[in-house]
Amino acid sequence: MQNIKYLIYIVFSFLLISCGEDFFDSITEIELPEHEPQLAVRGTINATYLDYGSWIRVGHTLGILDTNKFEEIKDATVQLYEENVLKSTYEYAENTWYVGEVAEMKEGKNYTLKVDSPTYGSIEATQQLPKKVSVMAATYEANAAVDRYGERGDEITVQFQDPAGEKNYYIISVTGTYRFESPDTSFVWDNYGLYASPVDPLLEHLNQLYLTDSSFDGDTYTSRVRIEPMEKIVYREEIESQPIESITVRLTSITKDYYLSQKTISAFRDNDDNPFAEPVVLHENVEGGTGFFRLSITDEFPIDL
Amino acid sequence: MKQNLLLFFFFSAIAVPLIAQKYTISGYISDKETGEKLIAANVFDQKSIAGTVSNNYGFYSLTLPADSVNLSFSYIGFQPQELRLLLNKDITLDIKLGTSLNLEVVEVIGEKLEKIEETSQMSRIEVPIEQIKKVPALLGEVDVLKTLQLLPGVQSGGEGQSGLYVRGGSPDQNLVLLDGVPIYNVSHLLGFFSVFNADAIKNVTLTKGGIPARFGGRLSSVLEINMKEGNMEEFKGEGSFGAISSKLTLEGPIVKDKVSFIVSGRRTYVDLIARPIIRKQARENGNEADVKLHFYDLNAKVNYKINHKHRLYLSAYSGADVFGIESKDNLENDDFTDIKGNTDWGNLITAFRWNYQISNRLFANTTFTHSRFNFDFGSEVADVYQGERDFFSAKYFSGIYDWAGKVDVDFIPNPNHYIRFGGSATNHTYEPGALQFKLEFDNQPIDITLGSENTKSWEYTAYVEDDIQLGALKANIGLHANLFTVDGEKYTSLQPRLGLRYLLNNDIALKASYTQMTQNINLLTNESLSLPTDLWVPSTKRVKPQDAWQAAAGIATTLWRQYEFSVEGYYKKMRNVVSYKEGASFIGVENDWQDRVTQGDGEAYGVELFLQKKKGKTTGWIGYTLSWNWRQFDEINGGDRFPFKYDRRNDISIVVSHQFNKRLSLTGAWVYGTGNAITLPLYRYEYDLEGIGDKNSFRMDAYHRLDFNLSLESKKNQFRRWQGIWNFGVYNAYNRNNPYFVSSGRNNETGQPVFRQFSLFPIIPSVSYQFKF
Repeated sequence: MQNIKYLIYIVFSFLLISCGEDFFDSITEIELPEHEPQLAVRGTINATYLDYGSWIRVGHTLGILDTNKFEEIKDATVQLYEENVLKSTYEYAENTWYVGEVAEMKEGKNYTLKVDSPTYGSIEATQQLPKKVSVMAATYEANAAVDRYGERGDEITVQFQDPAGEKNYYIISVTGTYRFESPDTSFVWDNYGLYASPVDPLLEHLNQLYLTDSSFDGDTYTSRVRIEPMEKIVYREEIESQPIESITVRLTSITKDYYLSQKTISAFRDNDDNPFAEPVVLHENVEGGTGFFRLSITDEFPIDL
Repeated sequence: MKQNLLLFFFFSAIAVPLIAQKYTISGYISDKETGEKLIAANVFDQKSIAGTVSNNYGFYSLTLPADSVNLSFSYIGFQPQELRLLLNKDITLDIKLGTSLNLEVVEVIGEKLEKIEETSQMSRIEVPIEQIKKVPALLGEVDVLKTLQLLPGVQSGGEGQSGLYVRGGSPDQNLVLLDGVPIYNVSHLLGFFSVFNADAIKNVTLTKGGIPARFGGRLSSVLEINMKEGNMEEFKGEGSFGAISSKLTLEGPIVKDKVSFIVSGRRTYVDLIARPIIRKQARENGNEADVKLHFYDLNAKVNYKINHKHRLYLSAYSGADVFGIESKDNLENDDFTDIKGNTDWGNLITAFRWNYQISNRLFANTTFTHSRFNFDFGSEVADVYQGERDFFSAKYFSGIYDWAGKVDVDFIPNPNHYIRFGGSATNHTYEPGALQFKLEFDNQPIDITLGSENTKSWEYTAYVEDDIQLGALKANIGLHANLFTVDGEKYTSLQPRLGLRYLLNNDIALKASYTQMTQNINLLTNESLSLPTDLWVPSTKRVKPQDAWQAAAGIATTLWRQYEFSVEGYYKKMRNVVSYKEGASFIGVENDWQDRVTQGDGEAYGVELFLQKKKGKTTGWIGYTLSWNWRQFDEINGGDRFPFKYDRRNDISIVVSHQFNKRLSLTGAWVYGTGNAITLPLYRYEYDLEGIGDKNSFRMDAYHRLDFNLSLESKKNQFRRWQGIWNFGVYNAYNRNNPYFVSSGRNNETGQPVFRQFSLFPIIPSVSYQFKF
């Protein structure tokens, strides 16, 4: 029995030793690894719309528990190279982003974005500009579509020839053109992005409608989207309502990195407040820092209403 | 060509020993006191050095040359029997073994038991129920699965969880068989307690690798749990009172030595205590309230011995978790608001088995089974105001239902071969999550059901395997074939199995195994929580069956005649494992479940060390696992491989039990495991984007815990049937704050954002009382 006594003493000693101030405190703060701020770049260049379809933002990362506000980095050197030859140097435009003058970009060429910050080091990322895929035909039919969500609307079809033997990624978007009377009373035309929802089951509804050629590689493919009938009329504060007079279908060829970055950003944002959602690893493609650089090129096909 | 050579070798090996005149001794081995059949009892002829073991129904068959034989029958914890016979004809011999009277006898018996180095099966562990009952448990609630988590190669998911992670696999990759019937949900109360009531269980065997061909359908392990058959000799009972539940088991003969029964039940009683308090408080406020909060298990079995050749079994298990709340706020003028909510889930399984001893070398078992698991979540709000009634209800339900039939045949032509073959057909029905809304406003009813439609599938299997003895080499060779049909899609697989043992100088065995497995049904589970909302879904045209191969090799030996020691290394490759996509969750019925999942590969490898002492006053084991566990999905983590959440580099368990005297024993268990791999946001950029580096790149703190259990038996008295055992337990003896989950929040004092680790269980003492009569 002597052994039993010792054992009981040992057990109760454990209990007493454990009885500290926070004995039943079941929540403890944990240390995260120290975060070293990195250069963060988000850059998108559309070779078709070099004047307004391109933007490069430069900032830096903050540790997840850091309460400081984000600040744009305005003194970075931002340069675009075409096949390792300097193409353009981008300058910071106050309260917006870095802009640069690029006259032309060529399909199939490699473009490298280099960003150098005096404080946060430098990064670079390379993308190959995809080949422009032309829209072969596009149609509009009123009240002919029922989208994936069961909503009826007008149908737009887009037909194109997918280049064979390579994985291709697309964005399909639709804009409406309307007449806009400017203050100097002259008439100008303006474009208005129309909300398009998927009819084609292959379309992924991210911030726009995305498509991969996994199931139609090298084929002629026709995709279908729905637009809201009410959106054929544009309302703006400074003008009275104007009817849309034509529709332009845009088929944008994007890089794989473009597709993956948008897919993960959308997944992240869609589930930011869902505690049961699986975590999302944002797709990044820059070396030496964080963020993404992506290229695209667009073909347009107008349809008169 | 390879297959033809194998068949030639196979049949030659069977045929050669048949040339000499031989006779067969066959029969059943059972417990003398209860009539329970003994599984894997040893039969050994010391003269010819040949032996066999009894099968799952206690049947044995040993064919020997015509001669005098010196047979010994032995089973752990029972007194051996020896018989000398002149074998000049086939003999039917039923053996009843009596339990050991004292510890010294156990030690003597142990010498004659099959040693670890003698078995061809590797990666297989059988844990005696009596040992399981002594291992310390949370709140004193004896738990079969948590005891298995103390073995090398088997991990728990987290604090208090009863799920098994075997050699890098996930819980859905374990084939859990209760009396041969797959059971889909093995836990109660969000995973804290398993559904198996130890009082109703006869034996528990876990196979982690080298899985024989008779099993299939899961990638990682087979857990066989067999219920007791019911005492054929006399009426007996046992039970316990514990902190959260009580149990009662009754068994006995309906017709002595012919028909027996066993009924066993367990129920928690938190709600019985809480309900009057809640009702009283509600009444004091002029309202009404009720609460349901319990789980229960009910096992039942009837065993009918028609004659020596035929025996029937009918067994059933029903268990469920019932959570519910109801409140009625009484307003003025007979107006009221009635709110009801419930979350119920549970299993129901039934099995009908027919044992048929076709001849003294041929034994067949035919089984028909039904298994179902369903989950229901519902809420209702009824609002009556000035005579008008508005009503809203939402109900989420999911489940899986199986109907199956199978035939298993044992053919024992001679001591060098034990052949098993058979087949099965299973019909699965899946209810993969549907949400039903009912609304009634101004007497206008609306009824909407959203979600995936039910799916049905058929699964057919056939297998053949042989345990072959060739001198120092023992092998288990088998082939498992599977055909799965769903929605017009057919998947077939041939899964070879091989287990080898080579005995070096009678003391050291070299073992190796190779296993291919296919899994046609998948569990969609949330990585962060163990919830009954997990969905069982079939492979489909889009979601391919999972498959895996595992190779293992090891050494087994007995040291100093009482310590079993084994080292095993394994490598497992898995394909088409299923996971939710990034950003997806089980919530959401707006799209099909197939849109929310992705498939990828898994890789697990490691080394397991196991040192066990089975005999003497001090028994127990030390288990250590060094392992790596990876996953790779094209659509997760940018396609890069990442550590699985339960990748655990080091896992240690030490279990020591000491019997001070016939009445008093103390068992201690200490576990240590590397922290789980989790995903946390580490940095942010722009205004809303958060970077996490790589998936599962953050490690929670290591897990370790010490538990004790002190058992004190009442004095035994041959004139008194009642026997009592007091169990005094301490869970988490040094009050370690073990991590359960991590979440973001703010420091209460500074208001700064922080990450906080939540722990569940501090030190928890427990007392329970077991009894037998």
